[in-house]
Amino acid sequence: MKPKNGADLMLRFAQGDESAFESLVARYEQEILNFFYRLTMERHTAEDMAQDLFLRVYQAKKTYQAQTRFRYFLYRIARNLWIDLYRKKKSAPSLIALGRPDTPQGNSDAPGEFTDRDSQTSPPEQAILHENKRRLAYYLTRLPEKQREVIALSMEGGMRYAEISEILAIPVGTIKSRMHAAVTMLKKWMKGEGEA
Amino acid sequence: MKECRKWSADLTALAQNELAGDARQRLEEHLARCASCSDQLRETQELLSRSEYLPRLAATTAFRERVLHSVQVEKELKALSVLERGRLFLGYLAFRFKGSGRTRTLVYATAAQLAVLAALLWFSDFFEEKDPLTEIRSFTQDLADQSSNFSDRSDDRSSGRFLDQENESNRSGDYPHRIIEPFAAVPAPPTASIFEMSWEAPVEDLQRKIEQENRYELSRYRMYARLNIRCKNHVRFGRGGDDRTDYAVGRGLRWLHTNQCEDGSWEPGGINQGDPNASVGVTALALAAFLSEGYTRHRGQFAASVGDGLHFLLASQDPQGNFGRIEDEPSISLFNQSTAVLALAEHFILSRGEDQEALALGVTRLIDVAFHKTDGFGVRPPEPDAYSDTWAAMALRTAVMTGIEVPGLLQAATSAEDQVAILAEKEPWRTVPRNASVSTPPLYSASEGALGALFQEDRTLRLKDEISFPDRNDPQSLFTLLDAPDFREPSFLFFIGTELCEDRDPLWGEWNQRVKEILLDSQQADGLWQAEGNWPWIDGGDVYTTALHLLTLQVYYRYIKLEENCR
Repeated sequence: MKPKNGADLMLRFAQGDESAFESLVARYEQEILNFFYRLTMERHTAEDMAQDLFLRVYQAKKTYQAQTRFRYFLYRIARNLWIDLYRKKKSAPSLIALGRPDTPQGNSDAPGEFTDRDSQTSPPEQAILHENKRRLAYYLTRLPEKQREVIALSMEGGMRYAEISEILAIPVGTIKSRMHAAVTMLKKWMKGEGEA
Repeated sequence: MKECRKWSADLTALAQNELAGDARQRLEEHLARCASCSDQLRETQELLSRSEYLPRLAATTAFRERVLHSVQVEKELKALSVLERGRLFLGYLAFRFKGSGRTRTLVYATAAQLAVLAALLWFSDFFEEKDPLTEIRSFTQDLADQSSNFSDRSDDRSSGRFLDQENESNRSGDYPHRIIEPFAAVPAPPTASIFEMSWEAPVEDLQRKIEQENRYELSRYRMYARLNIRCKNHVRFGRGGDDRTDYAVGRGLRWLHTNQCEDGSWEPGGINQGDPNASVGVTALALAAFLSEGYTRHRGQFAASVGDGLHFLLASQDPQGNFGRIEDEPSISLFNQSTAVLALAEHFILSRGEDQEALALGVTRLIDVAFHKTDGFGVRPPEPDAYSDTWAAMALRTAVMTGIEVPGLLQAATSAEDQVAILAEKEPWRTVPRNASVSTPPLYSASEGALGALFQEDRTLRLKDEISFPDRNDPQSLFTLLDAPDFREPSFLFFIGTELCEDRDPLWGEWNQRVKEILLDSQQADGLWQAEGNWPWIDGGDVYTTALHLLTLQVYYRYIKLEENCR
């Protein structure tokens, strides 16, 4: 059985098969949600943006042409939504409280969240581990917009440099230098050097 | 220092496996001389590996409902705007011709307006001008408020298939008779039965329970490292894994994720390409790779892949418990059945008891197929197929670890291990004494079957002509297996690695070092391992090869000893 890729599903949807759209949502919702979550670290914002994205995909039914991979098409929409949001806010997203991660129940073991079940360690070690994780998540949101989107596409979308380059329509060399700048900054902040 | 600065961007690219060719070679030559750059590379790799454990969201049923509802609203709004435009046009016509004596036109126009008005009243919710997104958000807020009452393991979410009406009965939680509820929803007090102990319980508590309760039920906690990051890192580094193997596993899983079919299966390759029945075994192996990392249908960034794969397996099970159709070649059926049971059993343990009925049925069927009371265990007794028998033995032992009650399970598992151990008894360099007692860690004996397969005359006749064979009296000759690609059958690397690692065999260090380098070098940039070699009886294609090589690189932490110190 050949894999039904996103482009096939979108074309079937364009021809009137509504179930193909539902399949698209099922196939991509997780990674799109986590892409926005990586950018914003706010669950409700990530869900709102993911919902807007799928609505735009739905609206693009008649105009979609399978000239490029469907994931690139999807992530271009995602990226545009992210830029709109970023420009609206014009400031970095809110701080994540170091007490608890951003979850609906405010619980670090919330369903659907992959967290470190690390009750084996002593409480101080556990606190350090959690704090490091949250610091990294927080510092990711403090990166400049252009670096943040590159890191998020790589981390959550699993994209290679060449794919990111196609989505953002910039050269691979630029991706490489943005990625390097992002990683350098993150390393510095994690070591406690400089201010995020 | 100046020279080092020019490499800094390349270091990041190398850490992400984005550097190739001459540039990579030059950088690697530089790294061999420069400790500072090597440190930088290691720091970058550590930082990037840490990102694997950042909090992630799981798409809930409520979210999907919200998306689909927003789309429905969009459709209705479009329809409404068409009606609105029609109404305005008719109103214009009525006004335009009111004085011209064209009474009939006026009457028709008025009637049409009334009809449109009636339609608008029917959709009276939309009468007021509203921002669609505002309305959607207020609806979804109501939905979110309701969803806070949903249980942690709601049926909808556990199915992974919100709109799949055909397979309602396959949804977890729908089964009318639960035999055992092994896990409590909250951590139990220390004096509770082992069945009620939480995954978060300290290992010391588990060890105390070893003295008190049945060891088989305890053995499920050998998968502890999959759910506890610190323990996993401890055993991985302690047993010979490193950040490179971690990266390779991440890339491989990502490749599997992006190459999953729409129905949740993975496509078999090689001689089985296009055969949906062959998808069963290959899908089960792919799932095993995700499960080795602790991903379940609710947990982790690949939860959707796991959910879809499990859905496929469950849908492929017939009422008798067979996974896939019965093949003329019994070894294929046994392979499918065994790997499917293995995957379901592991998921059962990691998910605290999901799909119990399907698992019990599958195990019962596996015992029927593989365990012959008169002739012994095996697919074609008295001439067993060591490859299939080994998978069956692994599956049965894992089923025992779940603690489910299936008549004859323990006897079948023990008999299976005895059978595959018999095959390898001829080999004097096997250092693990055969021990079928309850104290045997689950997989020691199971992997010996693969070794037996190498030395069965009828299966190795062809290969013997082409390459000099390992000397049975020289344990080091095992390594000649690694010299030729034709001998590096993926399941052999996995079975042998499992045995040597679990047993802390003296050969483990060298074996691990060589296998690790072979696998890391042969993995492609997108995470795939291509099928290679010339195995006429095992030709699983790229997914099979990738899944098994992943399992080989995960061997460090798939199982731990209960006395292992994970601090």
